[in-house]
Amino acid sequence: MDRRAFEAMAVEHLDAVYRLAYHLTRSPERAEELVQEVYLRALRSDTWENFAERGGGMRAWLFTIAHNSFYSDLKKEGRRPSPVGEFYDASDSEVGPGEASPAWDRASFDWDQVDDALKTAIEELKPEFREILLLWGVEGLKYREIAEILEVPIGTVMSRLHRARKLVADTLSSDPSVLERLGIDRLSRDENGLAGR
Amino acid sequence: MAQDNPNPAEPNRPDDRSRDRLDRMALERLARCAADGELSEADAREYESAKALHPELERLESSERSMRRAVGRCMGEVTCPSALRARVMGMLDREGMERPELQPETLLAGTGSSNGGSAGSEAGPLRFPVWKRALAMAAAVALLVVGVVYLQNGPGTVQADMPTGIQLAGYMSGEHHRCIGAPETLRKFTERDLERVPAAFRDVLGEQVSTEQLLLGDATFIAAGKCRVPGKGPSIHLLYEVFNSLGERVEVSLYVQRCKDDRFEPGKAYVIGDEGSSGGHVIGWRHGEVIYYLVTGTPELTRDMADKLNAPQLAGAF
Repeated sequence: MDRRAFEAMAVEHLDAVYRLAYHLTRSPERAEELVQEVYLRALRSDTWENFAERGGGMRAWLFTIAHNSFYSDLKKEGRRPSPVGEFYDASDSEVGPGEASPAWDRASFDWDQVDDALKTAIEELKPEFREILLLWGVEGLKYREIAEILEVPIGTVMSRLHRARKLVADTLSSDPSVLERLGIDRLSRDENGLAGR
Repeated sequence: MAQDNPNPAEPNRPDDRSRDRLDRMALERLARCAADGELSEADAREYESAKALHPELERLESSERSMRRAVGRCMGEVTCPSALRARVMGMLDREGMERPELQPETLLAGTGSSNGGSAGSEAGPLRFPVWKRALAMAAAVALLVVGVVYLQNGPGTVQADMPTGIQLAGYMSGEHHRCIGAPETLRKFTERDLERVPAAFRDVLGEQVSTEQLLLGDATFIAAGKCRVPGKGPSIHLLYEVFNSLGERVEVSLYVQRCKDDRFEPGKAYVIGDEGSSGGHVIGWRHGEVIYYLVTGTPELTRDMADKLNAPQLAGAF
């Protein structure tokens, strides 16, 4: 592939790379810096050559560079994020007798009515969780593809994604304004067990 | 599997509760994987059996899908600002000009000089004999042909790949501003004689478009070259300059894309993008399989230029 074709392919994914950068940094200015860094790195001859060897497509490759750049910058700044819990916390799914499991309880949730609250809930997550939600929810990547970008095992992708989804759902279901908008009275909901049991 | 305790007064034993919880976790995991299209064949069979026992799993799976769509809506509306797009594209161009070792012609020249290369040569390409390079070149050409055919006739509906107005406006505005500074330095502009444009870009313009149809009133043609308008189909960028009513020189960009999707209704022109992404400076319309986009510094000038190109009447925004 000649360099111009390579560049053209890379530029096609500017929106996606900026989206990832924006959701990682939560700052338009820092996102712009990160995007420029990604494209500068991508065009270095050593990384450019790696692209052909690595396979997996241009978008995934740019995402990997963005991911690595973001976390290496954090490390340099001494702001390494605390590691997220990768495995199921027993309390996540602890179910008492006669109680609905949280996920089964969520099944009654109307996700089409909560965009504003959902945005806020996502913004409050750690970058690792925002990142995986983006790769999964917006970019539509498979677990295997996400694992390659983040350079973690598939099991870690599944558990991190589960944690992210659960954190978001928990935030929404504890927000009285959301429940009110959905016409759900928390008390009666708990009493009646709208879990489909 | 999860079972209701038939006698609430007599709590489940701890072992039962633990097994029940594990079963639930396993079922939830299967429902999530099913919603994500990630079930293995064995898991899919297990999940189908479980759904027969627990019909509510269907609802859980559907909820997980809804959540994914909601996350997509909430996080997906961010797009690259046009100024950043222009900076990145300018940066790529400068990088290429400042690093001649990355230019295709330089790489080819290096390969060519290897024909008589000595055994001790250290350069990578010199290690390959002529027949291997010829084979690699043939493979590259074959791949390119396959790629072009795929891009033009690829699978899936064209509608699914249709860009949004914001994406189009972001690209056009960014590219317009990047190019008006010093078009003579940009490698993308390969044609500077308007007479030769129809023949040079036949793949985009087709057989019907003549030089006269690319004239923009009093505007002076500067250059044209291939570009990457979002969406399927090859595209070109033509740059012109014109003097406005104040005697100031202003640039006009005309993008042409060969495209089969139905993004515009024939006989109608549209303002592309919203105020934030284009400021109303981009107008697009379709003639057959060819789509035209005009970009200038003001909405008024864009409309004036669109008239000069016999564009249809504005029918709304895209």
